[in-house]
Amino acid sequence: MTLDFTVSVLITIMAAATPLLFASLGELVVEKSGVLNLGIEGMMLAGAVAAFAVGVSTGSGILGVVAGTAAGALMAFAFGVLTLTLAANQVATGLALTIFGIGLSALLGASFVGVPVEELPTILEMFSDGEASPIVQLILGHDLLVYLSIVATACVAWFLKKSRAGMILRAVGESDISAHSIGYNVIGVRYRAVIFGGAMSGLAGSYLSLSYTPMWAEEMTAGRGWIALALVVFASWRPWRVLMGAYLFGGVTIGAFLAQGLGVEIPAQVLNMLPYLATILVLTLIAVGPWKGRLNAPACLGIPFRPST
Amino acid sequence: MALSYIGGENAQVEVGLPEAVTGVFQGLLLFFLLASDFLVRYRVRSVRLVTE
Repeated sequence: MTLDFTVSVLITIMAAATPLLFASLGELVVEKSGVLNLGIEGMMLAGAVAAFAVGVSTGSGILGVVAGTAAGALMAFAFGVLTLTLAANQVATGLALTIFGIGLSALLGASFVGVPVEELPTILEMFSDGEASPIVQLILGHDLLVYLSIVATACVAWFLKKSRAGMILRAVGESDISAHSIGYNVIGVRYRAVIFGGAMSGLAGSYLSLSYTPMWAEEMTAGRGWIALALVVFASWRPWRVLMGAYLFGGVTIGAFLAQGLGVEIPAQVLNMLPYLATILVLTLIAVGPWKGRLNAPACLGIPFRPST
Repeated sequence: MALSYIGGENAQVEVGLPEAVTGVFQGLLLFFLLASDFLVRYRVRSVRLVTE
């Protein structure tokens, strides 16, 4: 295996992991605030189609990414109105959001199928002609969003662990009634968390349609929203483990392609099962293992909150 | 739900609506169903805010 080949594989693994990382980080914050949003897939698709439409019509990738993020946040806001203000069932609303997102994105994107878009430039291409040694390519050969995803991991980790607002957010997720009784605005905190989660999903979608596969196709997320959801549990609600998990799952995805390319006789479907199998395995281990207490799921996850006045 | 699938297919055939409309319609239907659940569980009352 040559260095060139290894580097190109690593770069594709990072590219495959980035959308998962964005979506999982968003969902991590949402779940830490005690809300379970199953609509990641729908929000990602909305982000992907908005990013692509704006990217194609304005010719600016940055504007596209902004539009995708905003679209994801808007979808999440609708989710927030239903689950937080109207205290609807979060699981049902999340699934409705997915159905709605799939339909809406297919409808809006119908005229964009097959239209080419300019791929987001990598850092190398921005400052030179794109030629460099493999090591430099490994470090600088990604577009801005890949770096943003890693920075976002650090920011989310710091926010949840060290910042005051992050601690309030965790308090809201662990015991909504206690947080409410000492005067925190539970619904307000959850709204912000949900919208942040939607924005991150939209960002993940933008990355998919503008960089990973620079085109639009119906249901192009292909189940990544669900993997992102599984990843949060897999990582037991810790940001750096989410990063690790995303790269692991990205590696599995690329490994599936490579195995087929090298002529290994494994059906692609079996390899596609691996992320989910890994999640089931981790959940089982956590549930039966001696480290039972470490499954730090937020205590109020998925429970609607209505302050009784 | 099943009806909306059939209806969606009919709409495709007869009016020429894109398939995606079915999904949008079902999503909206579920949204409104979930939102109206609020009215089942809570009674909306008009109250006068007590100000100073």
